[in-house]
Amino acid sequence: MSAASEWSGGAIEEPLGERAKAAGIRVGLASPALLWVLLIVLIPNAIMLLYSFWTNGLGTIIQEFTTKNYSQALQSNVVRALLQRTFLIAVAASLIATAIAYPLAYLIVRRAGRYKLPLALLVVVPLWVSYLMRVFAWKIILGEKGVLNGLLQQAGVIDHPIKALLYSKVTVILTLTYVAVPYVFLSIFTALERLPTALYDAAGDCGASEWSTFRDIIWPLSRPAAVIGFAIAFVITFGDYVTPALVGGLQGTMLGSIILQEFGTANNWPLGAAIAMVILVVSFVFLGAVSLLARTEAVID
Amino acid sequence: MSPDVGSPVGDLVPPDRVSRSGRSVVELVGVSKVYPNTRDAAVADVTLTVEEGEFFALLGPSGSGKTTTLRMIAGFERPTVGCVRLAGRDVTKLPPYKRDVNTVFQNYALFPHMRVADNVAYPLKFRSVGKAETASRVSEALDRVGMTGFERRLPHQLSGGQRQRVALARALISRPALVLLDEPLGALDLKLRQSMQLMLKRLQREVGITFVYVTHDQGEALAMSDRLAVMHDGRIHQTGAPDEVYFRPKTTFVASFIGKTNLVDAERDATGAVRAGGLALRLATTPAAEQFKVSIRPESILLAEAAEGAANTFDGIVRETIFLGSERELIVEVSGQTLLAKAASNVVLEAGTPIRVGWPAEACVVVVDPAEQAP
Ligand SMILES: Nc1ncnc2c1ncn2[C@@H]1O[C@H](COP(=O)(O)OP(=O)(O)O)[C@@H](O)[C@H]1O
Ligand SMILES: [Mg+2]
Repeated sequence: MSAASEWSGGAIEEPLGERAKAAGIRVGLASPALLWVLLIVLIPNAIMLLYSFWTNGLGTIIQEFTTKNYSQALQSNVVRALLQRTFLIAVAASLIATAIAYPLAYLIVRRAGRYKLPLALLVVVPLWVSYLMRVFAWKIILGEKGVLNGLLQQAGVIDHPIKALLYSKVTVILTLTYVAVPYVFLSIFTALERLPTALYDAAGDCGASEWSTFRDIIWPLSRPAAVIGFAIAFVITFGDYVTPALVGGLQGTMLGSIILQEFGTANNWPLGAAIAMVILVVSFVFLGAVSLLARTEAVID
Repeated sequence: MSPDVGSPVGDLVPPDRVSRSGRSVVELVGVSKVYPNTRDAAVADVTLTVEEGEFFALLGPSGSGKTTTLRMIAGFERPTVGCVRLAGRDVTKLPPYKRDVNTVFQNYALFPHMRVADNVAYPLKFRSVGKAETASRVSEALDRVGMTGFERRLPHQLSGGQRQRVALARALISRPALVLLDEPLGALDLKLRQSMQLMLKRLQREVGITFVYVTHDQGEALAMSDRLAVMHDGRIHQTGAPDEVYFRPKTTFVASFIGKTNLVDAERDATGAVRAGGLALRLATTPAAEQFKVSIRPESILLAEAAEGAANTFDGIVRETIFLGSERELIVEVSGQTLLAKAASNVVLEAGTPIRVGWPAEACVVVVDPAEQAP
C-alpha cells in the first residue's frame, strides 16, 4: 500500500476473497483427515440410523421399515425420565468443570511464572491414565470400604461406613466433572496462552484494574474457548455409560446404560439405535444453541 | 566555547529550548533493574529528568534497556533499586492504572474485539466522563490522528500505520501528563515512517503533552526530539539536545553510534601537547586524561583551500571516493591515519590525488570509554 492511501484514510480492501481461497486450501490439505472422519464417524452413524428404522423380531433384526422404535422410545417413561436426568447431569458436570477449569487456567497463565508448564501438565496428566482406571479410582475413594470412609472411621467422625457416598446422582456428577476438567482446561489454557501479554499491560495502562481487565478484555477474548471446553465436556459426559455403571448405582443410571442394555442383554438393537439417535439429535440441538455463545468478531494476530 | 555561529559547532542549545516551564514530569533517580534469574542489570543506575512539554527520546541499540526504562516509568516493572517520580510525586510502588501516563506499545496492543471507537474510548471508562463528552472526545482524538471515518472498524481491518494512529488516539484521549512511545514506528516501512514522524512531531506540539519516545534509530531521535538520552548496556551515556549530543559526544559509544565519525587514538604529554600517531593535534581545551580518543565528524573536515588557516591542517592523499548522490565521501590518508571526509557530489577527485585537509580546534572532541575509565 502506498503512503498516499495510508494518509487519505480511504477504505481498505476487505480480504474476503483471500480468506475464501485460504479456506479452500485448508480443506484441500485436510482431505485425508476428512476421509478418516467419514470412515469412523459418519458411516457408523449412518448404519445406526438405518438400524433405528428396522424392525425388532425377538432378538433378530427384520429389515422392514418402521417408526415404532422411535414412538416406543419417546413414549417410554423410563427413557424420558432418563433423558432428562442424563441431560441435567451432563450439563451440571460440564458447567462445574468449566467453572473449575477457567479460574485454574487463568491463575496458571497469569501467576505461575516459570512453573506454568509443569502446573498445566499436572492438570492434564490424568488424560494419560485409562478412562476406566480414572473412574474406578473414585470407586476406591468413595466406596463402602473405600479410602474416605476408612479415614472418617479412623478419625472417629462416623461409626459405620456411609453407603450414600457411592451410587448416587451426586457421585456421578462428581466423577464426570473430574473426568471433564482436563479437557476444558486444555481448551481454555491454550486460548489464554495465545493472548499477548501486552493486552493486559494496555488495559492497565488505560486505567483498568485487574478485575476490569478481566471483565472487559480477557473474558470476551477467551469466552469462545470456555464455550468450546464446555461443549467438549458435554459431549463426553452426555453419552457416557462407564461412569454411571461403576459409581452410579440405580440412582445414577444414565441413558447410555440403557442403550448398552438394549444392545446387550435386551438384545433389541433397533430400539437401542433409536435411543442413540435421540441422544444425537438432542446433543446437536443443544450444541448448536451453545455455539451461538462462542461467536466472536475478534481476530488475534 | 566561543559562540562561533557560522561553524557547525555553533550555539549548542538555542535559548528557546532551555526556557521550558522547568517543571519535571518524569524523574528517575538511581534506577536499576535486574530481572529475576538474570545476572546483568537490564538498566543500571539511570538518572534522568524530563521536563514538561518536552519531546524526549531514549536512543540506544537493541538490548540497551530502553523498553525496561519505559516500563518502569509506566509501572509495568518495578525498579530493583531507585525511585520513579511523576510530577514530583514518588510513584515507584504504584500500579500502572494509578499513574497519569499512557503508553503506545510496540505492537499497538489494540483490543481485538473492540471497534476503533471503543478502543479509543476505553480509558475514559475509568475517568467518569459522560456519554456525550466521551463521544465528542473520541471524534476529536480520531480527527487529530487522521482516522475519522474508521470508528466502526475492528483492529484487524486496519493497516499497520492505521493501527498505530488508533493506538496514539487511545493514548491521548485521557489527556495524560505524559505519553510513552516504544518504537512506535518500528514495524512500518521507510516512507510511511517518515510521514508518521512528521505527524507525531506536529501532534506533540499541538497537544503540548510530554512525550518519551524510545527508538534505536539515531536519525529518528535526532530529527524528532528536543532532548535525548543515549543508552548502552543499561546505562545512560549522555543526555542533551540533539546537536549537543551529535557535536559534543562524551563517550566513544555515543560518537560512533550517532552518525559517522573519525575516532583516533590520542595521548597528551606533560607539556599538554596532543599527538595522534603522526599527527600533532590542536584542541580547544587541554584534556585531563592522558590516553583518550578524539572524535572528528567528517563534515567538520575542510578540504583544499578551505582547509588553509584552520587550527589543524595537514597534507593528505585521497585513497577512495564514494558517490552517494547528494554528496561524496572521501577516504583520505593523513600520515598513516585514515580519515573520512565529505565533499560536494560534483567534486571529482581521483584516488591518489594529494589534498590539504584541516579542521578547527573545536571539531576535535575528546571522548572516553566508560569501561576503561571505571575505577
Ligand atoms: N522480562 C525479561 N526477563 C529477563 N530479561 C529481560 C526481560 N526483558 C528484557 N530483558 C533483558 O534486559 C535487557 C534490556 O532489554 P530491553 O529493555 O528490552 O532493551 P531495548 O528495549 O533497549 O531493546 C536485554 O538484555 C534483555 O534481554
Ligand atoms: Mg525494546
